[in-house]
Amino acid sequence: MESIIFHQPRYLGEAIQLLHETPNPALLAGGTDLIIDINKERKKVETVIDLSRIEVLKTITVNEIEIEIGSMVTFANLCENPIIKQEFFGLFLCAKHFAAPQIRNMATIGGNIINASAAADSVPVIMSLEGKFVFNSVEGERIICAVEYFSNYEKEKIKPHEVLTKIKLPRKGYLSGFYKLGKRNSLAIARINAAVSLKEKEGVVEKINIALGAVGRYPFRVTEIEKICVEKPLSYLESDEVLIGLETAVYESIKNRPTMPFKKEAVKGVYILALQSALGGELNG
Amino acid sequence: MYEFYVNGSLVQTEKDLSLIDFLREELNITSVKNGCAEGTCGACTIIVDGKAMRACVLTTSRVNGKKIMTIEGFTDFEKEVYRYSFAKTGAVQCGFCTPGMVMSTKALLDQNPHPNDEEIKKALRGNVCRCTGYVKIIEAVKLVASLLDTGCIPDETYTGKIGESIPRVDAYDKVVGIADYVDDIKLPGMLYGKALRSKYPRALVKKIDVNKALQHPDCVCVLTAKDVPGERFIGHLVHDWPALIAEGEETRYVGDALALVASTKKASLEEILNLIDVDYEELEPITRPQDALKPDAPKIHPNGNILRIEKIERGNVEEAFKNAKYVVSNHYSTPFTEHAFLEPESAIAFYEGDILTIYSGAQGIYDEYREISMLLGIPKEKMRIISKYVGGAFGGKEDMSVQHHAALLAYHTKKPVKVTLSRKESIMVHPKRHAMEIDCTTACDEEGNIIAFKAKIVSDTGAYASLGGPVLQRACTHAAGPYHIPNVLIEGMAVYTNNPPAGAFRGFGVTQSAFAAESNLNQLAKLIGISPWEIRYKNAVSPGEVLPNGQIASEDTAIKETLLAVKEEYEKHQYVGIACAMKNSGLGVGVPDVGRCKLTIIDNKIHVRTSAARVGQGLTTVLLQIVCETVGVKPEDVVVEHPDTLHTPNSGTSTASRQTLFTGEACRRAALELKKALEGKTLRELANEEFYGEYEGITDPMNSPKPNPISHVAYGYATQVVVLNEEGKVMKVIAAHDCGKAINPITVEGQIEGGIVMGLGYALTEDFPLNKGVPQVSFGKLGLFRTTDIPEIKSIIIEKNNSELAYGAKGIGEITTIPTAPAVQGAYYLLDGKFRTSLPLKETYYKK
Repeated sequence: MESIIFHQPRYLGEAIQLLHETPNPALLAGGTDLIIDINKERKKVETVIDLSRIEVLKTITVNEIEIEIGSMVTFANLCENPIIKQEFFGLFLCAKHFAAPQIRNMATIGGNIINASAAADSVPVIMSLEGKFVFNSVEGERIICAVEYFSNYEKEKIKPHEVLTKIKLPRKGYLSGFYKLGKRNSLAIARINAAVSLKEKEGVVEKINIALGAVGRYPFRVTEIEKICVEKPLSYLESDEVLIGLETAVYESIKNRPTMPFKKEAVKGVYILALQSALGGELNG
Repeated sequence: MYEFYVNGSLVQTEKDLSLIDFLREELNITSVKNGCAEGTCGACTIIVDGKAMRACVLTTSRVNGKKIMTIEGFTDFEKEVYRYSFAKTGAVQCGFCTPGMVMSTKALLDQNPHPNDEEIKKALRGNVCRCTGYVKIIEAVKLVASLLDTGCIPDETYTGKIGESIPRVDAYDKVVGIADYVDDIKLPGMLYGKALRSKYPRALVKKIDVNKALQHPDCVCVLTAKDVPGERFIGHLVHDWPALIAEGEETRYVGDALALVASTKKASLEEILNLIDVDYEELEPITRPQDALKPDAPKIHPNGNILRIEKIERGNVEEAFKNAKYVVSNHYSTPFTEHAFLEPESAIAFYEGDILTIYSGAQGIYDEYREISMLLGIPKEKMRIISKYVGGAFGGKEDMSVQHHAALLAYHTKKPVKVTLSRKESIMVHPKRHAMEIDCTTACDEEGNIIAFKAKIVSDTGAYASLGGPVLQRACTHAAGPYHIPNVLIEGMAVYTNNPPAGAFRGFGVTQSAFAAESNLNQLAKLIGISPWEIRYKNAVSPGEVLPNGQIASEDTAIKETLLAVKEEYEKHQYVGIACAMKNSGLGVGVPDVGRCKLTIIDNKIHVRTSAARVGQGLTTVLLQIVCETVGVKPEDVVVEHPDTLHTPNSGTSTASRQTLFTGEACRRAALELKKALEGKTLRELANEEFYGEYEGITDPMNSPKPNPISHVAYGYATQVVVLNEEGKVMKVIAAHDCGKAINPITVEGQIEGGIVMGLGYALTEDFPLNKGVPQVSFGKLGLFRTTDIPEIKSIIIEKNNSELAYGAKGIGEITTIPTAPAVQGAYYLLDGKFRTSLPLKETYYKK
């Protein structure tokens, strides 16, 4: 293996300057993917910028309207944060069931998002919670909705000189849940996952966001189905209309893939379990 | 064996040393500044295992196994962020406290990347800055925090034109601790020198036995009075100050030097001094002017105990008092004040061939030239004085403190010798602000027009004259303030005592007399039933009117403008005090006063050469901007050299708020010559050519027979408003200053903010108690304001000067400190009705 230039900036600004000055750097944000790729020589890297010493990226801050999660917050950190458990239960569940404990201690939410794997666990949850990504560069700050980011990925994806610094989630008081189906529970890469956030009043749905992962190139929201659920009783959320709608959405998304027949069936169960976790607490084992 | 990491490298030592000495002397890490060595000033702040700590209270044994960081360990990115932020916001003046501030900032931001103002103030509470008033340092910290996140350090270019707030050119090196102050320099084979100070303020020195000291293995020489080859008595103006006290002579104060020691090791100095036996006969010191004036009082100097008498008389005050509607009369007392510049005095003397060269950090290299040449009896051609960076002065570095001693030791040993005062010695040795006793009477008519002012001022000038004569004179000439008063009688007397000498200090006597006169106005306004603002506005001089000293106020006089500028704020708040001031630029009163400057073209750059001392006030940048404006070049084309008697012409002392005007004008004149020569030519074609400029301020002497003598070439004017809360805490200060023209506005603001905070200390917390002539304070007990003490400060700059001299600039350095104390006095008078007449004010939020 050739030598790699390794930077370990102490400050975000320093990382931004390095990104500005360095051609094609790899950002190290936990390393649960990058290091493996480098070791297996799947990826050729000349310069690595390690973000692990930048304190501001490792903090979770809360104000009245939103929570800001630093991109270097690990999944283990997410599990431990009381506000996330109380107000963003779907994210809590996602973090809790994310891979193995060793990986949860290292893997970061930012790394999970930026790798942009179809099966990235955190993305559907962030989408359902109406989250936004904050990117910084020498040009300043760029804020973009998670949904917009992935639906227009080729245009909006992270630029070579940018760094994802924060994920902002509005504190709207959603009930939220998450479920993923893997081959071997949490250790596995999700075969399919779903995140649900909703608001209800006296048994009537005021607002619902449903996001699906691992059923397409990128996770997405099923806005057509979300719309028809509004002002319906909660029981409607488990109705055939909704479930068939989900089945159709999955079919449309991956109709040419061999996994389609399995996933269009599985999505229904995964969604129901995600919904139930939102409404009634944790169901995942 | 102790082991620890310094900036990532493992360091091992057998010695259990003070950490500051180890870092500075053994590792040459000179960003760690030695400001007090008592753990109170914060200039030596370093980071130990992530926490900001003071190197002077640590030892190599106590940091065993720990990780230490200094600025030298910063990444390039961090250095750039701190440099840019501190320079851009104007947070650097003398720069001596700056590296410590930077370290405290780093320790804070590593823990808390986005601190609020209160958190910043708390984190910097242990770092004293005497120049800036902290306002801009707090702004700098916020900018650092933001840039550490964004990484967007702007690439800014400046024109250097007048009125542009360009970052100070010397700030960059000061921030990262690579600007050399004298004590940061080490020469090969250098010896260390120190003086034996008198045990008593007043004692007959019968015998000085140095034999035991000479036996010490590290001792190179011990010098006494008989080793002075030239004039033993020297002094800035009056030659009454012996470099060493002789056998058979009486000491005059506790800072008197009896012997000088040179040692190969700094650490041995104290031991060697302890081996000198002095046979004293202790005598009762004279510690009050009234005692010194008694007919049977011992004479401190051959001509008696009165240094100077002044009298200013216009009109007939007694007659006017008879016809006055309201008369107030009070007695005021003001204390000695310590300058507390952050850099203790230091000098190195050494021979370059047969030229005795001195590195100094004081207020005028030609003062050292003159006095040391006298002391050693050698011609000036055989001497060279070079100024290094100066870590603050405020008037306290006008006299010889260490320079003459280093020179004398080098003269005898022919080796380089460094003499640096400890903070304790510095407090004991250098002249203070005069304590004054002032009787002050002000009278007005029914409408509040002041018709007469009378004052009697007695100043305690301590053991030696220093600048005591001119200080008394300014106290008197400015006592009546910037008002039109037809009848004035001011009498002053400066008296020697066995207290530490008193000399120049920012405000130069006017801080004291203005406290008295302005406080009187507060009482008078109450009697008449008009506001303190009104009585001032009603009486303030307009251009063309006559000042109390007889001078006609010139067109640029803007005292009324400063009053109008603060009016809205004054009326908005409940517990407010207000005071006005005027302060001369230049020595004036017929004393020869010349600014000189030379521009030399070297390697396509314009080198500005003048001896004018840069004590942190920002003159380097002012001169650079004058050259840029006049010649039409860019800042990067200009190099301002350090003062050096070999290259830079004599531009007098940095005193009397004179340099921006005097040296600035000389620089402008030189620049005009250069501009003429540049027509159709390039700098390259003018290589090695020199362009000279000189400006002499012509004034009339004291007691000139002219009806309206010109005492000074220019006066600055100011009004300050102090706002208290219900508990008496100073919440806000609004300051309007007429500086003619702000060459660099952010520097002017820095002078205003720093002056106000110094003035607040003078008003409320600073004191200099003496017990039988012996100072009773350490640096930590001086009562200096810290970050957490400062109020909000709003600076308003008034520019109304069309004079071409230095583009209309007038001095701002001193006046900023003058109105603060009486404004606080007035605010307290309004708050609790108590009329306080002594400083620091008693029974306040700050002092019970």
